[in-house]
Amino acid sequence: MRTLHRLVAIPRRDRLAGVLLVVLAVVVAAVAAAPWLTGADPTAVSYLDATLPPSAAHPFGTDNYGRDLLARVLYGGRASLATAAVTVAVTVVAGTLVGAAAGYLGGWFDLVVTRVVDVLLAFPRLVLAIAVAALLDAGLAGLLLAVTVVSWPGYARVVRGYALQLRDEPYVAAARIAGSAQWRIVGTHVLGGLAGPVLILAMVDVGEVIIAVAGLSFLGLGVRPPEPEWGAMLNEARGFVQDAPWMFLAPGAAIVLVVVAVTYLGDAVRDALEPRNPRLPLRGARRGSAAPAVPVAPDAAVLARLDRLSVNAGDVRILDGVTLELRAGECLGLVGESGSGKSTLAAALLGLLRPPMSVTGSLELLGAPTHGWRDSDWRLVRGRHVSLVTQDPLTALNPVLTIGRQLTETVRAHADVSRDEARRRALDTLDLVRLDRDLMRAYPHQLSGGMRQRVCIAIAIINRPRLLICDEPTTALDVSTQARILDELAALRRTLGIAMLFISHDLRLVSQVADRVAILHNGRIAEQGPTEDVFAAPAHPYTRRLIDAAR
Amino acid sequence: MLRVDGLSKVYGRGSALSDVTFGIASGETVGLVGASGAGKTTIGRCVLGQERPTSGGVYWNDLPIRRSLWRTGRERRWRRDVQLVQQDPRAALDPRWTVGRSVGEPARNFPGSRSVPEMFELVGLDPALRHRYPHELSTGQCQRACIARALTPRPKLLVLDEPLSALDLPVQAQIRDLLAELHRADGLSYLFISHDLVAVAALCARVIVLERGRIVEEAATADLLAAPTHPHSRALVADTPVLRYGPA
Repeated sequence: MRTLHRLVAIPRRDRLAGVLLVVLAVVVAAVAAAPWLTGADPTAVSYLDATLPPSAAHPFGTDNYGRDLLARVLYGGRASLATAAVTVAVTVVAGTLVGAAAGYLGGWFDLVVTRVVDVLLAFPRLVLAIAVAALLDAGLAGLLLAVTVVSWPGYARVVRGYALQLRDEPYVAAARIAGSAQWRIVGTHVLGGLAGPVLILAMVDVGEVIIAVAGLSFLGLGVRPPEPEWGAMLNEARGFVQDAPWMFLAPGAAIVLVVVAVTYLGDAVRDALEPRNPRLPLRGARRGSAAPAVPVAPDAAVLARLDRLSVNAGDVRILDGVTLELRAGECLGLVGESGSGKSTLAAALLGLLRPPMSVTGSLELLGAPTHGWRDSDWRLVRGRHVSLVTQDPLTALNPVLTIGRQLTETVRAHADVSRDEARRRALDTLDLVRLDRDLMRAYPHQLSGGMRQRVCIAIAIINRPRLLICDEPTTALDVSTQARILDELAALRRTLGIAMLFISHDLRLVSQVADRVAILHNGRIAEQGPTEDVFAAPAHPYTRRLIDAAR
Repeated sequence: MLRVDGLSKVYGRGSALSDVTFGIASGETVGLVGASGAGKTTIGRCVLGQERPTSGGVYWNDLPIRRSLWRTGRERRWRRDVQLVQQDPRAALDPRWTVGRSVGEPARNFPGSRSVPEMFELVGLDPALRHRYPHELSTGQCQRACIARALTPRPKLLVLDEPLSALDLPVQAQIRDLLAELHRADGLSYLFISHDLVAVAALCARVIVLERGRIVEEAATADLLAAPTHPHSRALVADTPVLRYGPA
């Protein structure tokens, strides 16, 4: 249902798409209503009227046989558009069913389908279509079959990929356990999940199919003369480009108009169904800037001071007047449930809030007000003085770079040092988090979850920041690994004197690591104070509820 | 009721499970704990017939469990008797289906299932949420819906695969209470898979500790917490976080 809403909203958001939709509708309606729009017979030969330029009697002119071009374009559109529509429909259904079955069922069926698809895709599409169309009798049916044969493998391959993903979705597993038969799971959950991607594929493909149909007709395969078809009309016009350019202008314009409209609408559909986050353009990265453009004092006693900081996303208030202080060397525990605004607070401290988020109130970092900082200013602080460890170490690391590369890159982004010096610091930091030095050459997927999180911590501390933000750093780990990581963080605080903002929903963990706690509830600080005081004598009813849940 | 007998599972060159043997009696609640990679989830998958054991077997009321394309009557029996609640409740519901439709899915396949409104009431979900989509619900509500779906065909055993770890602590407590209540009321059996001993202790009478695919200790929950014998169990107990300060 969401899909439908998004589709309906396209013309409103994208003017050009709306205009093209109208154009397309007009063309289709005109082609469908051909007998009512023109009295001329598209196949009636009249040598007296041969190659007449456009006039009131023949708005598009006439061809070398004296046939009315308006009538031929309108009637020809019936063949072109109908063939394209039927071809796309048949292709989509066949490709989707075969691809979905192959991806979902796997096994020998998948093997056979994949091989056949590979072979068919190895041939150039149009050449294969010409071969197939030439083998079959000329005519619309042969044309249709030829284009279908070359088009379905593309669908099958893409759909198979989607189906493979869907097969492992927990809700598909749930459906199997709920006793639903395989065919029913494919018919409901799998095809339902495929509807969006397939619609996008089909829309983007319609233009190409129209061109393929016209191309084959142009070559004389497909529609038989004197029946009109756009591609065939272009072929007929070949000899008259100089003498009667209107002969190819009429069908050519029709093809261009429809293909451009359909392709643009296809792109609009894709944008609507696969929304990507609008990202602000990032300005070119500067490396090794020694002179900070913002006057931060790394030895400040108060590392961060939030004064009535509020964050809104549109009409939704995510943080509401948060006043908080983070002092050098301390560990502040920030407790809250999902949706309480914890991670937004972390993002604010790192200057990572982007529109539509808007910030009011003040935030001071390392003694400097951050108001008016540009992204380049934030970059001098982020990863250098303030750094972050997130919940999921697998997504926080780049899968295609070695650990060593990711560590040295972090050093060289902030300090103008040699490769060797960066490497030396990387090795030192690996020692600090008690990881083997050989891991410099390893890739993230070769590591266990606990080791990956240590790597993330190493990256976060390699520039010896003053403040380390840990956003649910152990939630993805099992209890034993969790305990080791917490020990590690505590040791780092002792040896390096790094202050920590420890964000978690788990009161038990916070009670073990934090000197002070702040309880965040619906974007507001419900309560803050020394850990022991808050937990031993909670003042706010919400804190009491949290404590009851943790025992 | 459930018997896992000499279960082994080998993936490629690595062995995930070796010679795992245990049983669950009717109405019994058993916890399966261990570090990640210990093979907990693989046992769950074998019990649910999603995974074929390399050797050994899983028996439901003395009949071997296996998945076949041609469903026999006795397979249907096992299929409805053993149900699953997964870790990530939001991902376990089809995003294009209303929650009510998802909860009612087993009822279409198993005659004599409970009705959707009855299930919503049983798990404490507002009946108005029936026509909502998963993304419109909180994670806790989604997990209640998943529990409702699992209970719809009146199962005897619920495999709970880390059902709490995607939830905030207060919501964890609510779901834990719900599961405890369902056990008390219905005598439902649980195979509770978790790395969190606290959650296991609250729900299960007996605990099995797994280390690298082997059972290293099996004991009554209270005994294990008070006096774990195997070093691995001892480490697990020691590493389980506890609230350090608290009101008297």
